[in-house]
Amino acid sequence: MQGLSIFSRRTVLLLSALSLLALNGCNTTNRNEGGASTNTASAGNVLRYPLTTEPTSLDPAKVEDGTTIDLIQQVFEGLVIWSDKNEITPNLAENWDLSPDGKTYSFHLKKGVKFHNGREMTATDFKYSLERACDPKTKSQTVQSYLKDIVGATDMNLGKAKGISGIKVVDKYTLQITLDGFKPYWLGNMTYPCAYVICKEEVERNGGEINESNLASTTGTGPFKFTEVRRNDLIQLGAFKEYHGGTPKLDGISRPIVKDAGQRLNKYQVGELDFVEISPADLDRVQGDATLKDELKSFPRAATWYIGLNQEAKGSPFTKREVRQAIAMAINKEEVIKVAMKGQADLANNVIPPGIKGRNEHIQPLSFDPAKAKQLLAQAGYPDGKGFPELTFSYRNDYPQVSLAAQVVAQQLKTNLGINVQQRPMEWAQFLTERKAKTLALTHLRWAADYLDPQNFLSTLLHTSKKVNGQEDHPENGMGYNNLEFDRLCDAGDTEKDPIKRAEFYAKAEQIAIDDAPWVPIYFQRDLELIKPRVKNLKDSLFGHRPHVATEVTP
Amino acid sequence: MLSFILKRLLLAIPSLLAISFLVFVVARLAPSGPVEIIAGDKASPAVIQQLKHQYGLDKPVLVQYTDYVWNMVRYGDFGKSFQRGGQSITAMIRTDFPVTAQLAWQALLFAIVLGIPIGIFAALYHNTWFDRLAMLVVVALVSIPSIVMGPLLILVFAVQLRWLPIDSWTSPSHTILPMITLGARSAAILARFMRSSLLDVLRQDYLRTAIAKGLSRGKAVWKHGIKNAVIPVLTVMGTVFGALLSGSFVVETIFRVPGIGYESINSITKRDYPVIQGMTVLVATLYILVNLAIDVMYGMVDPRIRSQEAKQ
Repeated sequence: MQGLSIFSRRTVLLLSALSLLALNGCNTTNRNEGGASTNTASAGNVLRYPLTTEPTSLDPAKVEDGTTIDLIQQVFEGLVIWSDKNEITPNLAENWDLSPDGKTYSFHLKKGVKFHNGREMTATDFKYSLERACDPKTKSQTVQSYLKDIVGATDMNLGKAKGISGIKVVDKYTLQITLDGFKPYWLGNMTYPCAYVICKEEVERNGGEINESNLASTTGTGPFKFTEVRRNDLIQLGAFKEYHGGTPKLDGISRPIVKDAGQRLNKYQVGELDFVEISPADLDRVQGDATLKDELKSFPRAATWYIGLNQEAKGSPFTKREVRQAIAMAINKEEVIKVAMKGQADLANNVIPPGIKGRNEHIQPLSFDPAKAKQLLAQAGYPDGKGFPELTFSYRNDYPQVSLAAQVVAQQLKTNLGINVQQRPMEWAQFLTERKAKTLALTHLRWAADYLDPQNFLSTLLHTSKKVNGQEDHPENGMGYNNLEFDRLCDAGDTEKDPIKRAEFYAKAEQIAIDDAPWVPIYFQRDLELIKPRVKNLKDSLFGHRPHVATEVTP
Repeated sequence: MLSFILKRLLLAIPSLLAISFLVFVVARLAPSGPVEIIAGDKASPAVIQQLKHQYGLDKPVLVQYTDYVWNMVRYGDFGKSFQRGGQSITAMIRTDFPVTAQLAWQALLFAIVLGIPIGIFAALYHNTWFDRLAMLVVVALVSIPSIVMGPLLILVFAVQLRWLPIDSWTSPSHTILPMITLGARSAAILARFMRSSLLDVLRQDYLRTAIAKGLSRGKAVWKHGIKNAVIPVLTVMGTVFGALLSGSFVVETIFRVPGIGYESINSITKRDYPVIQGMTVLVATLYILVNLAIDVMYGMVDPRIRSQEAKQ
């Protein structure tokens, strides 16, 4: 009997295990209810493409990264938007007037624009949205970059004011925004998520937060609305039938969160995804496959990858102009692009990527010239690299192409100049922390535009930075670069009203930046994507695909 | 028995406190922090300082820890995520834990169904070709890490043959590959234990006596052999289950199984301290509970142990 009791207990254990399993099994099926399956069979009129990372937030005021911007721009909208010709065009604002002093914008809003909950959007909503973004309680990390030009925005963000004095609701459909100066590039800031309009009553019903625990708080005016957000798994959007720009062609968008690049490609190959971004490392696999090869497309982006030569790092040899020029001329960009990017990028001789108005189209580059480079290094006091301090080359470790590019550059510096370079691949967060402390001498990094204007490249990145009230006035100048003539040209461009004269200032400034070589532009980014033939009418700007208002899929 | 359980539960409190403190400090020792990640590459040092203040990360670590423990004790609250729209960690556990538990149960079942028969037959046919082949397979299963096995299974069964879905956790068929990947190692462990335990029992006097008394070999092995051989395996099973429950981090990440392992990995890369802390304390609690359950079960299964305890 004793033995038998063992078995009956074991059976009991097993049975309870099985019943638990069955119970949990029900859970699994429940999870799937109400959402479109990610399988091919039921793809229907739904566009399926992956999120490569978990969205950082669904709150427009807090979104900073490209992946999440692409997600929430389907749901929320701003006054203006980038067109597929990379120009600022009206979105929720039908048009606008600029006061003679160039400081006050009067936006005339489109009439009859509805939020997803059916209520009409008015100027009050914009005032509320911008003020909520600047409220310190919102913890937005982006308003300081994009809304600071509005009179009173910084005061509110620092807790010194209850509202933004520079924003006025003139009437139901007119919103007036006053800036602290004339800034011809300013409208680009209004395309940024922290300037999107949100729905006051829905947000307040959720305790002032916009998050996935109450999807009604994500009520916007965009062509799609969130229908399901499953953490670590899948986000689904459904078409908003009353969208002010016409009912979207798609019934919905399905965004599985797939972090592994290999898995994304697997899913694309078996037909679970309609398009997918790939990394240069996957190009061999793609180009070896007849079908995939035909589905490969590439899109230019407003981003420059460069080698940063920081003059402020301790013991940096880059304080000497000849050293910087020697480095610039010792790098064979073509080889870097061939090895690291498998040829899928555009060689950069400018600081500013193509497609941005005001870029210097006749730049004189510091071309690859190892002999001249050697000579310059000798002039700086380091013949054949002798006595040159050993350099540490820091870059992010999460993209194979970045590591590869860094290795090629290090090899070129060794061969062409006799300089020894230590590789230091770093975790992204760690890299950011050290970069902000300006302790990294040699880096490989990119600058992606916030808005398409030379100011966002030249003045933002390379203008001399001074401390004003304990804060750097050009914090993005991480190179310690300072050239008074360059600063003067940038300042002139930043405040010039005549677009032609403006472009001339920036063109001269850009040439100086190339000659001084505070950083060496290597290539302009292209996004590589595999797109199934069933996807039609995908619209693109230099910032990425535009909201999927017109995108179609053949079921 | 009740006092035994109570004693063990009380002993768990200092362990959990120690674990939570360790995680709290270690997470903060890792280079860079959540605010730097939230702020992104364009935020100025002033913005970062301001955000640190808003998240309470500018206070001394000890003060932060005391606040954390106090909130846990007072409100039973693990706090809120720094990301994910400030979702409460208790809510996250509520959705994530059932998934991990289901995966662990399934993997355990898979391990039992595959491992136990292999072990039994390998012992019964000791030193035959079957035994050798079985042990070869077992060594292979123990040695292939899941980070290799997972992608291999995906390539064969999902991409090439297209019998099963690649990843995600939406239908029973989605659970098959993760279950196999997670359970394979445990199946191998159970097979080895079952084999050696049964081999041991087969050599015992009582089994020889049973056969001498006229019982057929098959009946003797089934009624007296396997029953007794299973006792030590049962203990191992408990440990294996504990390991499956807390060790599915890699498998969940490969197959995008939205459980506590996947969430933990995510929160570590984002330095989402409250989530890292909450998930670790949860896993530690589970491990302690499973171990306690094994001890209790062991007593239930083997009367000799129970009587020893009673005597004490």
